[in-house]
Amino acid sequence: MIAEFGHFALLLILVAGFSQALLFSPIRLTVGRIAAALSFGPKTAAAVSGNAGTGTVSGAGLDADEHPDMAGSPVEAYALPSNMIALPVVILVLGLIAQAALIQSFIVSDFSLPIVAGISHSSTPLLFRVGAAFITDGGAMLLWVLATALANTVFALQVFRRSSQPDTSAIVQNQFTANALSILGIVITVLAVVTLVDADPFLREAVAPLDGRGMNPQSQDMLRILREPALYLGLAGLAVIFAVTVSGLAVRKIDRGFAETLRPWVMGAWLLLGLAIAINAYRSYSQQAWGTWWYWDTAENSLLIPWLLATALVHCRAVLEKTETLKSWTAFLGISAFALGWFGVYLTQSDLLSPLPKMLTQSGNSTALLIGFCVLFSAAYFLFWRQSDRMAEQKAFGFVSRESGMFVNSVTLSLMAAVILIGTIYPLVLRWVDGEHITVGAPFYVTTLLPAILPLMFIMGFAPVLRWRQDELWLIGRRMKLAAILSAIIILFVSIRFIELSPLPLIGLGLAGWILTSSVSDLWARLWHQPDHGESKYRNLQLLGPRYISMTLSHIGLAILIAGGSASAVWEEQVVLSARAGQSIQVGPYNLQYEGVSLLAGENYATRQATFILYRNSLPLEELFPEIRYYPIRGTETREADIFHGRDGDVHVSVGDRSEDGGRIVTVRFLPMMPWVWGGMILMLIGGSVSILTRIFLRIRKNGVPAS
Amino acid sequence: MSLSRAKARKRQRMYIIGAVMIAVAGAAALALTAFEDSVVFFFSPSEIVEKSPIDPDQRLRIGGLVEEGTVSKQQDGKTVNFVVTDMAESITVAYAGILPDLFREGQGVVAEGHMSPNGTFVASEVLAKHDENYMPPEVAESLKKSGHWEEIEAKNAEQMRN
Repeated sequence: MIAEFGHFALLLILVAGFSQALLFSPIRLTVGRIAAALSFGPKTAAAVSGNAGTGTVSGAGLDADEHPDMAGSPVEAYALPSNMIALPVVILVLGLIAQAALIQSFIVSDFSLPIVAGISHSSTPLLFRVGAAFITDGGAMLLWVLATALANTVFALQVFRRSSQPDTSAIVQNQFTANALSILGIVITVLAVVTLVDADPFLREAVAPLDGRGMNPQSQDMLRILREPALYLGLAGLAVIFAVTVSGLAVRKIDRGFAETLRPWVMGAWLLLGLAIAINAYRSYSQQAWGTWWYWDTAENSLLIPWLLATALVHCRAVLEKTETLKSWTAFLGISAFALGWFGVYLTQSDLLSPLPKMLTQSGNSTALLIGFCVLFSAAYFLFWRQSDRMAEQKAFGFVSRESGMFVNSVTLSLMAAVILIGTIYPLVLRWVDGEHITVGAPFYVTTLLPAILPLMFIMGFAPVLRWRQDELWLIGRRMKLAAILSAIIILFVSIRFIELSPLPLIGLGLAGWILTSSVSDLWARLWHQPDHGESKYRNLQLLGPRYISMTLSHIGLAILIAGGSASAVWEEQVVLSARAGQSIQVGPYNLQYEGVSLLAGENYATRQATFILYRNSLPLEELFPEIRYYPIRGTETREADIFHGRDGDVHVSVGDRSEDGGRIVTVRFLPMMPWVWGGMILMLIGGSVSILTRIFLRIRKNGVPAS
Repeated sequence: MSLSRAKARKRQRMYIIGAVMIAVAGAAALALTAFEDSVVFFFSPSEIVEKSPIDPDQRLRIGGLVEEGTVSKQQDGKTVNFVVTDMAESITVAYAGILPDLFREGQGVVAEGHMSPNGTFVASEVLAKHDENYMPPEVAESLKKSGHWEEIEAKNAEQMRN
């Protein structure tokens, strides 16, 4: 019964989304015009039809205020419907109802739903039964619909607030907003249709099985479940960017106001996709079966591609807001980011590519997802093609300028995204063409991405200190003197200290040092070399502004991430041995003592938990408990590594089977500087949050005045 | 004045388009050359026997079923030997390390590594990141080629019922 309720709510989302699409679309205006023509007679009709061709100009001279009683007149047609907030809120509530119904079916273990029977079991812990609602295809699609509905409501609130303020260009603004809301309505409709056609989570079977098949033990992991909301909220942010971009293209309003509308969305989508990537990386790191923190897996690539485009968009949007240049490039990125995010979801849901797919039970078809993708984005790109060459750049900028630096960086980022996309789909194309099976792994990505990353990181060092519009090379040289010297010292030190090192990680470390020193020296210069304002030095810190702080934090985070990544790849130490109780294992500066294995009962599994005591300089630091878990429902084992994050590196311990000689196989890895990778990721996420949180904070404090 | 400005703008756009074109061409060239030497091909045991001797430097993937009763630990305690078969030909695989969670006798497996001169396959990575009754598509295809697919399918179905 509850599931039917959810099913009905999903159908209503479809209807409501479609009516939002119609209600805010230009079609309604045409209908309104025809109605007006019929009711006001031929004279008005002629005037209206004369106006129809000139589009946005027609209402500009008229009174822009909203008059509910002027129904049917052309002025009202350009004003937004007064119930603008109502429809998005209705969709959001319906989405919540549908999601709650699905979660409820999982909580009470309603096995007449095949989705519940396929992935859940009565013995699965409650937390994972709730989480299981997100990880099947149908559940994930429903989550995506809900996330988009949420973004839709927040966007409506954002523009509603703005449109309630008196504004001279209210008519263009209103048309632009209405179009964006209409496109969001279309996106929600398409997603709801795709959910219903491809993987309807609310279907019932006549005969319910006695119990479910149980959750795949590999998915019974908190991080796996947390990744999904982050990913789909990020995609919902990209959907709003897409809608705003297409609407901006339609009314040819890609300008400063457009960039300001986009600002929280670009930052939010970037942040959430980054969060999903970080969660995913830490999860594959803590799973013994995979071991490395980046696998170049289809699922990982399909997160990384939209994130790279979102990063490019963060920079282009800033240029657009500041100087109103790079209009069509920003629009192109805005469409492409969502397109590739959507395509990534398609790639992971259709088991086309992954050589070792996650699950047999959910390899349903994703045809509707692909068709929706083709229809939506071919229309968007067609519009882009028609409109972009009419958007003349108002201003030019010099070759040596911040605009140019940001532009080159964003082009490089999108090239990297393109290369990763090619690497991801190439095996599929080859299989179709001549039936050969190949795998594209880390070597391919390293050799192709490296030539792009090197100039990217080099420019990243000095782009933030470039001046807008026009700058001089010798001035840059003067400003970057300190950073250049410091990073040269770092490279020299590392290459002398580790003389046998191959050049690749050395380049990584050197570039990390370059970004780090240039960011810090710029920060230093801003804090201490600025003229004193007759106030305390603390004033200089305030003058930096949230944008600068967020950018510097993210850049430093990336530098730390790259340094940690290259160092841990080079100096990794691995020990595989058959250990007996009491045996001590030397790895890096640490000493591990194996204490034996105890059999324990978990919530729905039995676990063989090994105990290790970690020593450094013969002082005990911590106990580590790697496990082998046995899940009786599926009859499979998983191996959970245990990790110690020390100040000079991670110790990663995992255990395997009993070996012939009576010991137990133990794999210990010491990864120097690995905590830098996690610290860098966290720093980048903090950087993104600073930008969003200060905006929210200032908005609350200044009581509704946009703070930027 | 205005004309020269328009010209400058046009020229700037030309520069931008040119730069983008060069970058795209460079990326395409890089990707193609990288594909040539860093792509890993997948072979079934029959294909390996057909093509042998295979250059030991070439990285490749091998996939098939783990033959029952062939998994054995070596003297050093950490190297595992097992035989991968597509029911027509078999190849011995040696792997040092902990086998993945879902590695079972009689189940599908994919191993990445290289051929040693003495005809065994030295795996640097064994992949079995899949469901317990799931067959990697490459393995399924190679079994279909060797004509033993129905037999395995029936056996798996039998196991599922039990």
